[in-house]
Amino acid sequence: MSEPILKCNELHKRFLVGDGVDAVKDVRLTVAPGEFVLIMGPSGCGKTTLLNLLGGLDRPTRGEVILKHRKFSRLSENELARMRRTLVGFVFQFFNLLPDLTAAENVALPMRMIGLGHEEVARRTLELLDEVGMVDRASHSPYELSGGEQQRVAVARALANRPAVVLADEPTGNLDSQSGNRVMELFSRFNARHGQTFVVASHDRGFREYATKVVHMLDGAVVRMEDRTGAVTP
Amino acid sequence: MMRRRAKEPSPVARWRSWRVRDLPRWLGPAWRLVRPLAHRQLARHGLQSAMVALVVAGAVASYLVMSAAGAGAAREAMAQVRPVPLFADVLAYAPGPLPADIDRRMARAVEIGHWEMVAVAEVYTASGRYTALGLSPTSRLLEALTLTAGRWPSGTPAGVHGHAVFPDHAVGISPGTITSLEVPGRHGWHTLHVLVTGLYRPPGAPFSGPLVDRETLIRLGDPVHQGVVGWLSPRYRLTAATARLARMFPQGTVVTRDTPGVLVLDLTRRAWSPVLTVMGLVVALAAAGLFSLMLLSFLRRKRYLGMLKALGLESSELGLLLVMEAGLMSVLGLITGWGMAAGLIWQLNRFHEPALRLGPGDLAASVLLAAGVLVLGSFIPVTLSRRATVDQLLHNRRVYLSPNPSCAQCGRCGGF
Ligand SMILES: Nc1ncnc2c1ncn2[C@@H]1O[C@H](COP(=O)(O)OP(=O)(O)OP(=O)(O)O)[C@@H](O)[C@H]1O
Ligand SMILES: [Mg+2]
Repeated sequence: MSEPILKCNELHKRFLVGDGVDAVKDVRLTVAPGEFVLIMGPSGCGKTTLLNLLGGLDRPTRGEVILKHRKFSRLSENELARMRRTLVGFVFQFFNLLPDLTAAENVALPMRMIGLGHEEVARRTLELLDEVGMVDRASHSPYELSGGEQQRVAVARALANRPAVVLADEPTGNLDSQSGNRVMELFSRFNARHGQTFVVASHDRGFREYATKVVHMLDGAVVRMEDRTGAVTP
Repeated sequence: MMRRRAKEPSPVARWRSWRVRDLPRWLGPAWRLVRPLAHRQLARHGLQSAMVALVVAGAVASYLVMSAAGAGAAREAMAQVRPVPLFADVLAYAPGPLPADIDRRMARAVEIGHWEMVAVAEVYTASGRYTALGLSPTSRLLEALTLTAGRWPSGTPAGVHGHAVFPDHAVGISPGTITSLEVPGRHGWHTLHVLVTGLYRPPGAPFSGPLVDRETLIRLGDPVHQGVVGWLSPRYRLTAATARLARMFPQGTVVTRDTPGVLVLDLTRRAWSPVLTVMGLVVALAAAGLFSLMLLSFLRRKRYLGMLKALGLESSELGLLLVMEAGLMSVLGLITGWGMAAGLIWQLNRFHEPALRLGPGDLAASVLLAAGVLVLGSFIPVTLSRRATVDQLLHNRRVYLSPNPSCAQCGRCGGF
């Protein structure tokens, strides 16, 4: 197996509310470049918390996340933010797009954050919107788009800086199955065509067919790891 | 295995590691990044932005109108100033030998409206209460008169029959040179400002406050440098004077303006001056208005700000975004406020004589005022946005002013 692009060891997150909630318990995970990982499990099992930790949006109570040789524990908040600009793409369940910006501006924002020139940003924005089939809605504001269309724009934005890994938290949670499938197909296409690495959380069992690896979680712990290329590890 | 997580530097360490020369390198790109976002926010939420601007404009306009009215009142007072012969027992006091090169012609009456810095002390002695004033040896308030054995020379106009405390160094004040300003009471101002230096025993009437209201005098428009050409500061001379007086009257208590009690009284009087009170209220109200609207805007946009942070915006850039939004609204408010003030004063001048006018100083002060409102109003929202984690913002959780994670997750204090 090639060098993992994303890795976590004994990742643990405890929220200090009441008696304390262990949202993520000693999770160990390795993701190779080009993999499509699906994280499944019932509501409240810790999928969102895990993705937040993997994306550097939150700090673990203990354990370590390593993304492209960067140990998150060694990075300050600002360094984490800078790291997210270039290495991580996010797609959330809702409130994905910045409501004050148009679809094109939303897609362009991550590229502006890393200081790309105007022309290049404009060109790539169009390219990305084209790939998700939203070119004709470029100047629309998020209010004027359907949920599925918003998610497609969000996918384009997540991919704008060609991140090492795209983290998606229930990207289809708000969509009907047809739009949901469309978003997953987009992921799948980027995965196949550009070798982009995806980690997607979802409870839809139907999405297993897109994944190369399925991680089953329960009560914060990984209970089963399913390698869709064949083997099953208990 | 426990791993140490990256330590957030302490505020002191952060301050130390921060260098001014880093600022332009950071500010340029950050500015370019957040400026369109700030513009868009203001454009999309025009009404709210207009409200904030209006609050600032109100503060600026009321400040300017009050300031113009104050200056107008002072000018009005000027017009009514008349010299008042004062006190019988007056002696000017200039301790130490007079410098030889004093131009005696300078020792003229102070023209009405001109002023001099004087330092004041009240001296309670066995022989009554005196007021000592520190003054410069070149004071225009002094008329060099030769005193013989502590007596005024013959021919000195009636009403002035003082006695010399230090005959060898004393300089008399001739009656016509003693001037007081009678300011008609407006906004509860003091009515009598005494422009006199010397050592005198107050007449039977209650002493009418030689603690000259300096602001008023400045407003009367005398260039500061005109009267005072002292080698030593009046305050220094006062110290010397009171020391000698204390020696002369061992049982006496010397009370100067710097005596704590007097200082407090003085400050209290100033704080209660209606103009200042209204000013403070206006600034506080404007800051509170800006604060609540900014806080509302922050709370409404938690998810938006969280998204920006998730996409990689640094805390300082997020802070800059909010400051820029508030700053744009303040500038808008400042300009509107100038317009409103100009309109109001123009209206007032139709009925008001003499006309109220605004000077460049007023405009500068109003800029400072708007900046103060901006700082007071946006400090907490900006701090909140900087302190909040992505998770708190993105999932609309409560945000706390303290970054301490266990504090932030206990939540007993409420948070925002
Ligand atoms: N900030 C927080 N403070 C306290 N508890 C939290 C916090 N975030 C998550 N939790 C708790 O951690 C557990 C895992 O939550 P998480 O949101 O990760 O679940 P999830 O698998 O994403 O659920 P869903 O499928 O409903 O989105 C839950 O029990 C939740 O109550
Ligand atoms: Mg979730």
